Amino acid sequence: MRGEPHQCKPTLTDEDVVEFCKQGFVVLEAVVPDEVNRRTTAFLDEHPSMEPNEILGEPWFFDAVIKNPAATGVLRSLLGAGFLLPTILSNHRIECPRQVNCGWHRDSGAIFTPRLDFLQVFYYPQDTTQALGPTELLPSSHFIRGRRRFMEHYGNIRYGVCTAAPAGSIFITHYSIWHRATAATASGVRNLLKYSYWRTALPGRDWIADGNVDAMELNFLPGDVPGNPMLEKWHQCIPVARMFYWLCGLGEELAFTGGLSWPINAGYGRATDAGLPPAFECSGESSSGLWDERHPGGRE
Amino acid sequence: MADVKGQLEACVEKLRAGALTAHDLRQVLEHLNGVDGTAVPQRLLYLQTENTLVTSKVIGISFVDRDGVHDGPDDPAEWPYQTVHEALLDEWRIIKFPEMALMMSDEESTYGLGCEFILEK
Repeated sequence: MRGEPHQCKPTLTDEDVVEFCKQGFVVLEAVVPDEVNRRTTAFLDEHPSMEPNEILGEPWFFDAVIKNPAATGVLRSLLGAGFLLPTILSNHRIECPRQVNCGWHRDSGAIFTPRLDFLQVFYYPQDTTQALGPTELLPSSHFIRGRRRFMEHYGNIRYGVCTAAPAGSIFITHYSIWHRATAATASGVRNLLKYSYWRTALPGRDWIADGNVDAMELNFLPGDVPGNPMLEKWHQCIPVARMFYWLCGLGEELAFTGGLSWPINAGYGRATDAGLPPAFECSGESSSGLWDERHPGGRE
Repeated sequence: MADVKGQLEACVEKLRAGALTAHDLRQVLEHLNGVDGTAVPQRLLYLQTENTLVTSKVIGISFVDRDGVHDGPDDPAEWPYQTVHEALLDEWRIIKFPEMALMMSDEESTYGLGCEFILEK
């Protein structure tokens, strides 16, 4: 098997995992040391190809970027123990200024599934202001079906998020998230490294799981009430919950009862648990600890 | 467009008076074309909205004109139209309404930005 399984501690809680399911990305600003950012930039100047895989052979890079503690804590939470480290990477290196040359898209190979078997990561080794043409992401768009050839005519979207960030920032993304390049008005070179991590373990709520978390109190709605305007009102809770359900090791088939049942009724302190999946029901003496011994997933 | 209408009405009056000339009609033609005498190409405006109402909020925008495809201002507050209705008041005409067939698959899937109006001038 190519790729090295990585072991580390998870850093996300139940709420954090639900938040990732909702948004489809996590931002870690300036988590790579400046010295490594400088060495990376210098290395990429000497290796300006689109796939500078040689850098993966540099221990200073591999340890600080690929095995970055902040990033791998998130990856460990979402992909489980022993996830595979990347063996290839690409560099979206651009000479600025430049006009936008690619529209909104999902990367090739993106599929629609509640599974989360891999994550795509972006790393900026230099300060990347708006003028250096950072990638723009569309939150929650991993739930929107779209084929690249049928998305090219989309222009500015109200809810797009610019990833302008300081040097050493890492973005962990759902592979299906819509994204695009933006125009760069400044002068100079901008590097953007992109690589993926892969799951090897079965999912099983393998993060910082709190035994007292009540699945009726988790909020699965992306955006403010009644939800992200790009998605169906309230109904948009369902794919979020389905993804979380799969990550908890409960399978891909989450039955939605309909109406104001779980997960639509969750997260607002309502005195109901209609539609709550049996695996999330309270156990015995615990008043709200839904994660009982029947749960197939491991705990830290 | 108002100028052209006025010119045509003047031509009708001249026709009734027996005074209409080829020059009069050529002047109308010139107004239908651009200032350089060439035809003005169709302009397109893509607006994606929150729902199928023409008064719902625009969530995505792009333009096509003689010079190519444009995204419009980056800041949504500066978009020229916040609703399709505002574009209609600016003489854009709808040539395609949101695709209802996108709802025929299942209840949970959302396709594209959903409610897309295509307008022209």
